[in-house]
Amino acid sequence: MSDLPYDREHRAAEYVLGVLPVGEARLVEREMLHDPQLAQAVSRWEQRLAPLASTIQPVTPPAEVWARIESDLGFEHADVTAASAEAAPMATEEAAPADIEEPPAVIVEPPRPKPVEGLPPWIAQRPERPAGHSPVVTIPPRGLWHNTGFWRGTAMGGLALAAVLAFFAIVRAPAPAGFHGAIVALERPGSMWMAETMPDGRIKLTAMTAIDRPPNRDLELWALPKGAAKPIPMGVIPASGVMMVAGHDMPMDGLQLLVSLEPMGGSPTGAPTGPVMYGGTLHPANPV
Amino acid sequence: MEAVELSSLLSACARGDRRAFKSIYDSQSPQMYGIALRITRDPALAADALHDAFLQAWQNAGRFDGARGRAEAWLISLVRYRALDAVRSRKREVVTDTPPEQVDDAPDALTAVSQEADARALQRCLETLEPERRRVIASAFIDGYSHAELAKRLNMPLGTVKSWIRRGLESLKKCLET
Repeated sequence: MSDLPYDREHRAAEYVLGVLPVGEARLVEREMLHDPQLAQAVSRWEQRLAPLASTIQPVTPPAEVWARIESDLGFEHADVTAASAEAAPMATEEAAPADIEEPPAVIVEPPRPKPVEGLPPWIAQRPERPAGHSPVVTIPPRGLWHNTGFWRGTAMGGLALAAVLAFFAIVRAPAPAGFHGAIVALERPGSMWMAETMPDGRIKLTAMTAIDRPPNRDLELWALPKGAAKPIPMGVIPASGVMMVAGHDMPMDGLQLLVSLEPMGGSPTGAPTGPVMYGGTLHPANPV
Repeated sequence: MEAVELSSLLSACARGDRRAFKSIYDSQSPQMYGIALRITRDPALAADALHDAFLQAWQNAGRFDGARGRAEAWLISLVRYRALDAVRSRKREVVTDTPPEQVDDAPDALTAVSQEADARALQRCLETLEPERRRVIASAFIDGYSHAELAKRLNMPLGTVKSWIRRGLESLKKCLET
């Protein structure tokens, strides 16, 4: 931790400047989830310092980056050139005249979640990355377990994924063929659960440490295969911390496993109703 | 691209307009890629950072509030955080034999800053800082150095670097608020 006294403004500025080590940066991100003033301070510093970036020479990115973006978002090449019926007037004027001939675009995204006041926009969802990239934390500090104001603020109806998602890829354990992933939160270094695929197609979850949970709540597991829009309910995680679930022939590479906080017995709706507390991604296990 | 236009395009993205998204990519990605390259010094990592930032931009376009600030700054932040994450996990080597004079581009930085009001204000306020403090802050932002890396590069105690940055940011904030 920094030796200098905590000050929200300083933390925000240092975070935006990029001088904090990884652990502290992750802590700031976590704090932003329940401290809207910190989130707003971060936004203000982003606006203040951004002009510095214009001193950097622009460089045309490789063509494959756009192709990957299109592919990952499920865009087809043809659709990118289609005019949108709802395009802002300014955007249309900017467009090449030839494109106007295209039929109206299909609006492909599901309705957006309402913006949550005070949260920095990027914190909703981090894209999945292949092995080796940084975690995003979603677990609240212990003191907030019993704070109903906190839960009211963070629990979202319907698809809770939109509010807080955690992605990780910390997968270098030597193991035979199959897929595995660590499901983690920041509060403790290391994993909360290890997930691994079994030869019979099932997924095994093993708790690596004692899992904190508030009274009258259960932790429920969800699977989100790559490209899927809705998480698939996998059941409540038993107190023993060990769980075997059917694989349902889901594609395992890049499959995200998420853990949300639900009422006792799990979500009554078939979709997460509480905040997503932990997450991880399955990757092929590499023999070292 | 005008700030207002970029903001409109983001709103269009929030409604699923892929063409608006491509427009944003076409106009903003070179600057964003350049920023990522500068921080990561690695085209593959920079490409990943750019890709990730745009996925976030698409998925969170509806959350961007034009009243809070400029869309360009928002997009720049997205790619910077991704690039910083990439280098922090990789623990890049810090070159310590580079003489301090080469640590920064501060003189170039100041003259190159664009003419918009925000940029002018920042430039003016940066100039109120002592040169070494200005360099440290500019270098931190542009090159993505952490406290520890700056201390190593400048051969200064960690506490001094942290203190310089805090003081420098405080001064900047006060100056920008006047």
